[in-house]
Amino acid sequence: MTAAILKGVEKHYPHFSLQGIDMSLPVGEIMGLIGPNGAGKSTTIRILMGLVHQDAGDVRVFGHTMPDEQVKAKTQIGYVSEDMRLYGHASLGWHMGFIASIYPGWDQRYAEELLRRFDLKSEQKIKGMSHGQRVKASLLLVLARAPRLLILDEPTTGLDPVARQEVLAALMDALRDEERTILFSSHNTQDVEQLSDSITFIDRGQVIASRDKESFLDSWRRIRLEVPDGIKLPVVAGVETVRASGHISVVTTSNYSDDNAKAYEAGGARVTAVEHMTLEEIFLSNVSASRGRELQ
Amino acid sequence: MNSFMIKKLVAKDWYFNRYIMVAYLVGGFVAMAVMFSGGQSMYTVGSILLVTAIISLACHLVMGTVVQERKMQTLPFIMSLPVSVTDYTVAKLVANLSVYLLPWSLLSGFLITIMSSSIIGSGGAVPIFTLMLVWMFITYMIMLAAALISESEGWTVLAMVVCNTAFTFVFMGLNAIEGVGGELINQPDVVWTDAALLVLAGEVLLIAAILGLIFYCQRRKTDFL
Repeated sequence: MTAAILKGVEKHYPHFSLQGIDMSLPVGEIMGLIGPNGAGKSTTIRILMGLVHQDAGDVRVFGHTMPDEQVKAKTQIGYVSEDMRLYGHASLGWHMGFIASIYPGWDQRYAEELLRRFDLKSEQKIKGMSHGQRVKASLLLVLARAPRLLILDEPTTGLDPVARQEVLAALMDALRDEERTILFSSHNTQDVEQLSDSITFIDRGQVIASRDKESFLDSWRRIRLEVPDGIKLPVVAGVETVRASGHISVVTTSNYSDDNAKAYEAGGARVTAVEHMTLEEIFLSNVSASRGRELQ
Repeated sequence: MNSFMIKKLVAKDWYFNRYIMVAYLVGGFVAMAVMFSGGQSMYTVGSILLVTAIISLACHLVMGTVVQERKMQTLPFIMSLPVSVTDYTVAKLVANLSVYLLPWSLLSGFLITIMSSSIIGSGGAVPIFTLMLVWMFITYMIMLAAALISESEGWTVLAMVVCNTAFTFVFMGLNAIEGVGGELINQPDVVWTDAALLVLAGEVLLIAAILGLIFYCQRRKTDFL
């Protein structure tokens, strides 16, 4: 079953366009949406929430057409974004009461457990909280109502390492519910790598790659080569980027197998190392390949 | 429309604005006490204070409930709840109009009742005062429409400046209309002439048009955050 699906979604602004966004989010999956600033992550998420209307394409959340049926869809969505603020003059307790009065599934015991875990006080006013406390308060308000779909738009941006770890730990807890689906956007690949089952890279308004995390990490490699004079590297399938400096060449491939290294050896080059790549390196290579130039 | 969520949002705005409403209501009654404490100068001073209280309430509400919600980034929190743009607009209108109209109605009703009474004997000014009170409500609607439609602090402030500047000119204009102002103001009895009723009807139509414009523009929006 699919929690959310976007098909051929387009949105055009004077200086930015989302083009042909296709994404599918199966129930129970945690998808990380990674992209540089201004890539289109927030616009995609706002379209998914029905807050921005797509110019073209089809968006459905739990079978509800967006944006027309956003009210029904949003009863099952918990949304936290980096630019979301709670009412400064009201206490966290007031917000908890407000949300509890709207969502019948509000779990007061879990809310109190999260209060303790996040070291928050319900009587404290939001305006007196630090950024980290405000993010944790927002997260508490969505987690305690047990939404089927959790959409988090850069929730860890600007958090100190301790608050970030607390937020990630609470999210890991929330993931124990196998029916819960999460879409997690960030430009911090470490956070996404820690949480996600699948990863979608987005750049300049386009999805440039979307696969499950393990497949990304398994198939991408960096191959370091020594290339003697007069030897030209053979064309190997899956090569994304090649950087050469003197006799040293570094090849990144998105479709690694032992045959790749053998092909270079057969072509006269010497393979000095085959390295796994971090998600950040994979992301940068993807963006680089997509833009058709090397990112330094 | 989602009446359950509209009620929740209206209750939320009432909760956040309850002290503001009471403060301006008290301020308005103090202004009226000054108005009728005796003497022409006190009457003028009290009138100015009353007008200031009603206009300030309007500005305070529009800035506090609409402009600040966007500026302080609490709008994404509200729009993450099960509400549509129409639900939000209806809730904002109901909350704003009720918070504004309660003190406005009490102050207006009290003022008109006192003026109409034979003791004060300024019934002739009741029509023009009523028309000006309704005009103040219209300026509030214009400011609210500017805030909701433009979503911009700049345009809202501009609407406030234009509306508040227009106040004196509207009063002068109404006063120049035969059957509304002029010598009629000095009469002891309340006289609703055809001219005064026509202006009142025009004001009511203008309020309806502003409401229609708000819903028309809000429905056409494709980006709400």
